[in-house]
Amino acid sequence: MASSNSRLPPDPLFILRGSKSAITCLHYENTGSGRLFSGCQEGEVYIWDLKTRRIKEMFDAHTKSSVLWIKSFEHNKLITQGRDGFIKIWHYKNSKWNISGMFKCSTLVFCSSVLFTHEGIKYIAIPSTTASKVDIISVDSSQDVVSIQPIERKQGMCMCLKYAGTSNNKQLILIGYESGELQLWNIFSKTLMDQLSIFPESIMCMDYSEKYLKGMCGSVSNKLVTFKVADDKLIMDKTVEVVNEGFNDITIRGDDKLIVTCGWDESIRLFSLKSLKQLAVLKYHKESIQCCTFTSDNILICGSKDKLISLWEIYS
Amino acid sequence: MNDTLKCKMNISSKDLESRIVGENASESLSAIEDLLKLIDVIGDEVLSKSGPTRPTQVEAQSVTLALSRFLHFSGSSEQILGQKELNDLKKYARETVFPRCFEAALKNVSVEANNKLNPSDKHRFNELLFNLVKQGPSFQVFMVLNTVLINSCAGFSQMKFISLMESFIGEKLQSLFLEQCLVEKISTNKEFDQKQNYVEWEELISALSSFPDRIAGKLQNHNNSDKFLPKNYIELLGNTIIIVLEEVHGLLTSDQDCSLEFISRLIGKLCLSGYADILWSSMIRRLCVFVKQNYIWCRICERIVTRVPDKCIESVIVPLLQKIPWYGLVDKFLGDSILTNRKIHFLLCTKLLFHRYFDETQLVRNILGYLASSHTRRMLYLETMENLLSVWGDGSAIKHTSYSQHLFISRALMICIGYLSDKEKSMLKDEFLRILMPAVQCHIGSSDIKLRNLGMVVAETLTTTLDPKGPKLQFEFEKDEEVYDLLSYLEVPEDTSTQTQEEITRSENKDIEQGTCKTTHNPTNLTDDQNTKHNIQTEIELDSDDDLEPYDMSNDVKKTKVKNPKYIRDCMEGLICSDDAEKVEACLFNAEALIRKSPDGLKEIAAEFSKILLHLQDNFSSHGFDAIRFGAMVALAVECPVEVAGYLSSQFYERNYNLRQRMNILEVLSAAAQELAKPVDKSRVRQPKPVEEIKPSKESDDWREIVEKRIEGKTRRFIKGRTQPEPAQVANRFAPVAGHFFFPLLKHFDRSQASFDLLGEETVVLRKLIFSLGIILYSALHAPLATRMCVNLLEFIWVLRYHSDSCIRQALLYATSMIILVLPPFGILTDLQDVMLETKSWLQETIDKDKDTECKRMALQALMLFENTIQKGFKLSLNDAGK
Repeated sequence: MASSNSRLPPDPLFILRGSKSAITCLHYENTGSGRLFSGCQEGEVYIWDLKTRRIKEMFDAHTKSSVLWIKSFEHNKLITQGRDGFIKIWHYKNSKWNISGMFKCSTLVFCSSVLFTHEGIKYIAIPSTTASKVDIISVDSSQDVVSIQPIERKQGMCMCLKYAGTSNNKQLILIGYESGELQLWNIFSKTLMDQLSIFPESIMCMDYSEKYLKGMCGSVSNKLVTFKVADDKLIMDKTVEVVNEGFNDITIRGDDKLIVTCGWDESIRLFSLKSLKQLAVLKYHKESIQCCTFTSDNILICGSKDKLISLWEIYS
Repeated sequence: MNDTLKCKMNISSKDLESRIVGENASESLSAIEDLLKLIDVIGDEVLSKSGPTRPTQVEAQSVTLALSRFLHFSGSSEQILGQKELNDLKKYARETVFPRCFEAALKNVSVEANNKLNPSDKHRFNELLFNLVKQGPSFQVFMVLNTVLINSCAGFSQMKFISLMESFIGEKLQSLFLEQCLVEKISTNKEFDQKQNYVEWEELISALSSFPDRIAGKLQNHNNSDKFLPKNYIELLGNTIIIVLEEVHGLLTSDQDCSLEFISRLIGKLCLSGYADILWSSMIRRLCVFVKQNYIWCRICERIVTRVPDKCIESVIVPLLQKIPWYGLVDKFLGDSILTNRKIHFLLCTKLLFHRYFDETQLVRNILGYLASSHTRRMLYLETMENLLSVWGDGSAIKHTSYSQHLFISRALMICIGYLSDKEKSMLKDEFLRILMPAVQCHIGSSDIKLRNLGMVVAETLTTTLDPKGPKLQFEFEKDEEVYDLLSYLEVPEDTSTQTQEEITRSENKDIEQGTCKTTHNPTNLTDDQNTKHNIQTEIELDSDDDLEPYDMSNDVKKTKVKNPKYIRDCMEGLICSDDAEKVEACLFNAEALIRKSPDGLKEIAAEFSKILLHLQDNFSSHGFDAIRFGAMVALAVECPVEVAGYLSSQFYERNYNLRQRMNILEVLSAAAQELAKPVDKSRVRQPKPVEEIKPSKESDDWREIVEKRIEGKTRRFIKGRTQPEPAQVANRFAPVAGHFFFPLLKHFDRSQASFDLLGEETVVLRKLIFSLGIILYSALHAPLATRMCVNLLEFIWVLRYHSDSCIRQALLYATSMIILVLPPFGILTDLQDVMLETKSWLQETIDKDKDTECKRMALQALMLFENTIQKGFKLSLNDAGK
């Protein structure tokens, strides 16, 4: 054990430089194209080739408004969410990204939307223009299918959304609110399954592992709280305290082994999902880390306010 | 008994005696047999006493017959003896004839006599002796055996006597004791008999109680029987006493009179001889069970405890009170004797509480519980409590008694508080509060933190108990173990022992069994252990199965917004003019490291910097503020001793400093002096290694070199000389600056100011000052100035040597020891002879007269140091003279 403890954490594998402003969101396309999408504060979307590690393309998606969320789907199709209050669907045609659809969403929140498929139909859940309401929209028909809204409106704004998969033919979604409350909803029957007060402050970020039915929430404090979903009930699990406060993003790796948190303290923290043991603290960035994701071969990608994207090879 | 009869008996018993001692072996044996038979007829004392009062014709005849047959008692065989004569005759036979003959028989035990006997006779003789011991009147048997054994010489006969004594102690003690308890109803001359009894008892009891000592002295280690070791012997006595008491209890319930005086005297004597602990330990558990059973047992116990002779009463009662497990039982042992017996009253209410003290507290719990538990004694309890309180609060008592005794009184007081009833509380409130208030002042004014705590705890408890609704005293003190201990005395203990007689015997048996079974149990336990270990291991393996190995986490540090200062002046500035907590903390935490780097220009600002640090307030309650500031100040004083020590010591007597700052000054000065005095090779640490030129290695052409290299390669060396280089010599950094640390502190100690009166109330600072002076002086060991410093310090000590506060005296003694250590031996013998001799006589006086044990200890230590140094000095001067 002593020898392992003296092992120093690695340096980044590579730094992607070139974004004009702070990185706000990242998306790695899992189709083998090796493309990485990054959104930035000024509304541009960059497309990086991870083989050459160069910018491939760049286009202005939400002028002067930060891009909150990017998701590619099907072939050459893309959804972006901006703080200008629009969700835009893009199609790559004639070597150019064209808008093929647009929905209105909240302009106030930093809550990213979520894309999921049910019975072959693609839906996105987006924070509605009304506070604490979540709209479910069918992507293809562009129709508002369902709206989820808690009866008492004490929860404040939606802070984060996460699709929690299917259980007993129920499509579940987790919503974290400004009040620090986490709610579990059955999407299509519009019923609240359970709610749990996690923080006294707002929930800033959350991720959930469908395999272990276990998730983690981060807030502005130095506490990270995990919860479990059992029989459609939310159960508080453990609390981990770390040195510095504030978290921007939490990502659970695809193989459900590792949790990564992006902190205001410029550090990336790695935890084991199973034991919640802190494994490493990665330091490179000069400003707070805003988002992170993993490639298909478990390379960790982190985007920071300092306009840099770092690639890390750790536990891969 | 009439004289003719006596005379006849005397003659015939002599005859029997001479037959026993006689040359003829078989004659002697048959004589002993006769003696045995005689005893048989006469009977044991127990039987005769409890037997029918009027002897039958038959008995008289049989006794006469026996006498005539075995003693060749002639002439009066026809005459039938009367009641009185018969008894007298029996008594005479028992008390005079038997011991003489028994002693005669024992004289026969020797190697030569034994050799004369044929094997069967040997066996018979042996058997006869044991029978004599078993059947003979026990009192006489014991006395004779005891005398013979004590006077015996090592050898065959002694071994025999030992085994006889063992068998007596094993079997006959019980009847010996019981005999003494039975009351002789028929005795006519009561008073005479009583006296006779007392003389006999005195003899027996002193023989019994001195037996283990005398036997151990006689036999030394190698021959002594285990049974005669004090622990075993006294335990046996204790157990026997219990058995006898049970029998007495039986007799009493069947309406027969018994006297417990013998038992009581025996216990008294044993306790006085120092066996009290063993004796009561062997008896107390059973007695406690008995006294709960019925009233008769209580009376028995009360009798045996309270009727011991006056001179033994303390040694009986003190260990008993220490052993009784619950205060409610004390009543059963002592009854209301405290009201009638002045001695017990004095012992319980005064001597044990005020004149003596004990570390363990069962005794005081028992005493006070006993006093408080009955309405007849309630007045005594209140009186005692008031006495306790006034002694507890007496200023001079606090000063002149040791801390342990004061703690004892405090505990007693807490116990008393626990027993107060509501009515008494309201009745006594005013009186107690009147005593309490000055008492609290005395305690809080004390310089000993433990004493202060005691005062606060007791006062708080007392006020809250006396008047739960009224105004209360409330102090802030640390709730340490001692406080909880004190508070625990408030609870009135419950009776926890619910053991019955059977349980005790069972548990005793179990103890024995456990001793034997331990070894057999072990193997199974071991396998269990192994199993669990195995399980744990597999669990760990499972757990660590998919777990990822963590990296080094040392880079995970608290994020701060402000940058750490890089320059000493920045650091100073940050400390002075900043309301930003983080900035101040960053400066403070980095101050020591910056100072230690000893940057250029530190000298100019050192005094200024130490001023800032001295005045720095912990405004942001930073973590570890005091220690960090202290570290920085020490670092400053070490780097720039002249400037900083000069500044600090000049400030010590200035006005407008609080106690904390003055204490700080002293602490920093002594710590810096110690650090400076330590040899540190500074130059080596700081200078980096010079860069070496790497020469290209080329094969040397010189054949000689090549050969030497080969030889070197094949040579084995066992010792390479000194492996570590000799420690480098470093100049003492403290010696040149010692004066700056020392003399200014002595300047104004007798100058009294309104805000700072060192000789008055500020004993805490004075104490610290003396200790610091001692430390600084010791740091200046071997410095040229040391002697000068010693002289000044001695003068200083001389003024204060009879200070009323013991902690000041302790500090002075410490400083004296330092002087003795530092002074060169020839200095003591020459220049400073007068002063040192005076100091010596002061030390001796302290050892003899000081109240404080710690002072005594320190004075003794100082005196020993003194003697050593003087001896060393003499040796040195002798050597010089020799040269």
